[in-house]
Amino acid sequence: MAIPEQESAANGTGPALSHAGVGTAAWVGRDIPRKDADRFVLGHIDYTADMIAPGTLRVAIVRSSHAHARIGRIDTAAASAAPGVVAVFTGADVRACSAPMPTRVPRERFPGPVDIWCLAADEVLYVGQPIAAVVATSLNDAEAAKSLVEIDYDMLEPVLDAAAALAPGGALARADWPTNVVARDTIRQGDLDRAFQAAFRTVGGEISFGSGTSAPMEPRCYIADWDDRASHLTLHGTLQQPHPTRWMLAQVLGLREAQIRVVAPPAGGTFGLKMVGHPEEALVAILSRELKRPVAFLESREECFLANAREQTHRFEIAADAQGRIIAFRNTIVADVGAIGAGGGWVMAMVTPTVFPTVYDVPNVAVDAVAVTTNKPPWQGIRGYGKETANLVMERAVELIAVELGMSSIEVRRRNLLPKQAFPHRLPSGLNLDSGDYAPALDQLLDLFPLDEWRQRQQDADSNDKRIGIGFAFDLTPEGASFPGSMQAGFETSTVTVDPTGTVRVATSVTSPGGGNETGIAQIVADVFGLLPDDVTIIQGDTDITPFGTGNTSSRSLMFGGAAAVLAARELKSRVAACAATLLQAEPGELVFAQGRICVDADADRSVPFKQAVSTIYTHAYSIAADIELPLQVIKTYRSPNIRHVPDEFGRISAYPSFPYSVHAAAIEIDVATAQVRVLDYAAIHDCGVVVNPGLVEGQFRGAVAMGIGAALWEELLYDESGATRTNRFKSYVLPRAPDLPRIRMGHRVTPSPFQPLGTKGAGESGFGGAMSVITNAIADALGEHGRHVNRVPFKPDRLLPLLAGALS
Amino acid sequence: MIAHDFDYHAPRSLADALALLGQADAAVLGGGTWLVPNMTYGRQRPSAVVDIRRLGLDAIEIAGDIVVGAGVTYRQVLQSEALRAKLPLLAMMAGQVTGGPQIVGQATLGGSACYANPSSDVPACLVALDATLRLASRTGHREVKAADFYTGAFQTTRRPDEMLTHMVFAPPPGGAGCGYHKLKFSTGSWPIVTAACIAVAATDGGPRHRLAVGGANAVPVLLEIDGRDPDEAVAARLPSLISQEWSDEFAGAGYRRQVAPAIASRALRQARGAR
Repeated sequence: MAIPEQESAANGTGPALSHAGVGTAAWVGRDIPRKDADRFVLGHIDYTADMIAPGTLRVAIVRSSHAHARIGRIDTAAASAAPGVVAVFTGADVRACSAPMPTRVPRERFPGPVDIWCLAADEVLYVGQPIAAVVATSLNDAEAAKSLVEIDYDMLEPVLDAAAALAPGGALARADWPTNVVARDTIRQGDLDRAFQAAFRTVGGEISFGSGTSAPMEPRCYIADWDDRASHLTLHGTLQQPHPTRWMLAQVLGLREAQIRVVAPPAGGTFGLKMVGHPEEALVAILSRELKRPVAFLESREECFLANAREQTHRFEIAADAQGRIIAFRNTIVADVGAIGAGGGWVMAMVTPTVFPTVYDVPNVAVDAVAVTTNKPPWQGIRGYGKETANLVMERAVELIAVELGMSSIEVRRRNLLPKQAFPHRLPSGLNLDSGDYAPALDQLLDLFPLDEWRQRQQDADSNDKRIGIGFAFDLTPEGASFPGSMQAGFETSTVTVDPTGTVRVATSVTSPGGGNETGIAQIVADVFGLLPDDVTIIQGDTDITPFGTGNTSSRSLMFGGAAAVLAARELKSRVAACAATLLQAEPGELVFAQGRICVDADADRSVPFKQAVSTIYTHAYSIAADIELPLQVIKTYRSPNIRHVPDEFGRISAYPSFPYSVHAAAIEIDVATAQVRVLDYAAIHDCGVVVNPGLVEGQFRGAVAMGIGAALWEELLYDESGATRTNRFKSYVLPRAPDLPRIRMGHRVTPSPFQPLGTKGAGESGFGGAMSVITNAIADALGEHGRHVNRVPFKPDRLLPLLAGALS
Repeated sequence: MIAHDFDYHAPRSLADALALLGQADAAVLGGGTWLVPNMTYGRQRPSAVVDIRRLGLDAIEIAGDIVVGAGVTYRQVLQSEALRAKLPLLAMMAGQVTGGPQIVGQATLGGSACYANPSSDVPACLVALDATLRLASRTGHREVKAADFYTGAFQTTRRPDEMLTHMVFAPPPGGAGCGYHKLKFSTGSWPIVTAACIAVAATDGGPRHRLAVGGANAVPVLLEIDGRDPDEAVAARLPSLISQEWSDEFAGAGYRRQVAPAIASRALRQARGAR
């Protein structure tokens, strides 16, 4: 299959509806509705919690009420005797019948021993950490008995912020570790000191980010069913990564993978939350095996808000020459990653430094990052995965240096964007940017966003009443995370089968978070065979019938899982072509697969239905199809040629293969009396390479923008002085709703990735960081000269009001 | 999910309801938009719940005074032409309540009045309208002015054995204007500061304003201001009246006191213009 026509997707109108000519794509680039849309809309989909069968035992979890303590005596007698209660498990019980949960990365990366149990065994590390599990015949009984579990705590000093964690001689967040520093990175390129000395202008700043969370509509749920006679476990769950979860369970339970089936039913959103490593995944499995009955855990919304992320501070400095060329950038990052659990959320803090200096060509770069553990809840994966903060800091730095240079920030961007011919381009971190066409994207944005009109409105506004701010921001989102030594190792696998009736099945290791990747995979596979997407069934999320792979993270679904499916489909196509060539008395190379038929390229009257060729292979295995390998099933793994796990000359690896980017413009209004911010206008240009389904990409991108606006303005997890999460409901952690958002106008650019068979890049997270950044820049713009003091995201009005007062005085 | 066991009652007479309230640590259930989540989160654990749905408290009567039953929902307020004509402020307030039909059609004015959440719309509106609250118990009935009803955040003078049955409003004089302005940061946010205002034309020195500010303080703050330019008076008097400033996850200490005068002025302006 050739790389499909790109222009069709580029202008957002989609290709013509008729089948395209020979060798071109028919379905790639088309905006078809997602598969099973009707079933989702009509409520005919069973989510995990819908699958809790009658008779299933329910778990309520007794969680730590202290941020840091040693656990003393736990008295479970009263709870065990409560109505409906079947068992009460503690950390000691779990330790007696299972092994620790494997962490997602090698243990040697941590400064101390990392035995992570699904119930805290000796020491609790955050408010909300599971300590005991009450199992009862109903959730009501389990919840009611929770308060009867008595726990003696021996208090330890909690570490509740990064400053305390780094204070010399300060308290330790984990008693048996010698330090609170869990990871560091140092990135160097060029000669910083010389560049800063030689600079025409330099400026620095500080930006801190509050904690955020993903808050999917569907909270987590796991159902474990141990079949004692067969010694077999089935786990249904809200899982992005069923195979890594099976790997984790095999180790915790001491079972072979063949004894475990992990199923991920359709998901109601995840945004990174449902990656492997939550204690309850292991807990229900242990409980089911011990109790020999099915056991389910259903997360409450309050528990869902324990998922922490993003809290960090950046101190940066940027230098430019007299021509407005950025010659140096340096940045120090301190991230508070909370407690370390079995999940890999803390890795996000180590992704941030690798993204600098994003889309700009900066010769001298230094980034120092440190991640510290504290006694707050562990970081959990969240869209952006650390890239969003890097983009925001870079975009602020560009704005600040533009002020120093007396130039428009748009002009400064133009003078520093990497040109199209500079790709592939190695970032100082070792990441290898695949492709980009940044400056034309900026031009395209200015066609979409009426800048002059907004500047006029800004001037006309009564600055004592309303301030209008206009912002711009680029966003570079590395996608397809492939970390060595982890179960996110950077390959995905698809098994494609052509069944006897001539329909196609794709069993793929990538799962769907609810975003529609199954539809995109069906489109690209349909194009290989010249079939309809409806002829292609996508099977996901079942370790018994899908091949091994990471699952759904880092926008990898089409990039990896789709590519593997295409590779397998192409091989099957050649087998079917061999049979058709015999039937048509033609050469296989002359055949074209289109509209359900296989025809001779030069003579359209000579054709055979695809189904007939397939049926012939299945029914004439000793004659016509004697040389065709059976079954018509091929399994392929896709590895990206743009991932490098062998360190380069600078000792760096490249763990992301694909680099979608976007450029955003926004106009906002600040009410001077209250510092309330309203987003008035929003436009963006997005480039994720070849677009398989514009509607799905736009849906993902608009969702990312909405999430980014929310993270810039309203969403923040807050903790009280004891380390407890204060924002544990949607009435205190506020997501944007439709009336809070402007219409998001969006255009596509298509710069194919040269490293991916279809030219696609990841689409899913892309745009989140750009939205956070553009709102930040627009707010700073509204504050005029005082905008340089913007230093904290999100911009909650109580923090913005003093800045506004400074701008007015 | 509610973890504890409790008795549910839906009595058919007020006397039965009041008898139940007198016996146990019972909670009154109106629309349940407060009580049910609070019980779910274990913040309230009543041993009995007394549902008012069969007590006929969902009527709006307009005959001289305006009598609004404690079980009247925001939607009923919005659907009553007569009420909107007589008490437009109440309709303005109800029209700005978010949460969709699940809240607007379910939550009751009486429930909000009694829950006394500083962040809710209803209490300050009742104070601005100088409402009289009728409370009933086994031992008798009494009437309390809204301004005297609120004693603290989530606290009122209602005794546990009492039930709010009606809110009584005297119709504002002809020509009175009203204004309602609410600051909230996003659609899903609680009100941060609300201002409800009635402006009555006076013959000398401009209109008289009765202004109640909600959200900013543990209890609604009442100001009565005369004159054509009340903004100065608001700016001078309001911050010091916010003696127990409310703060929460949305805005910390100092914010509400600082912005309250601006919100109040917007309601005042609306009341003067909307006459």
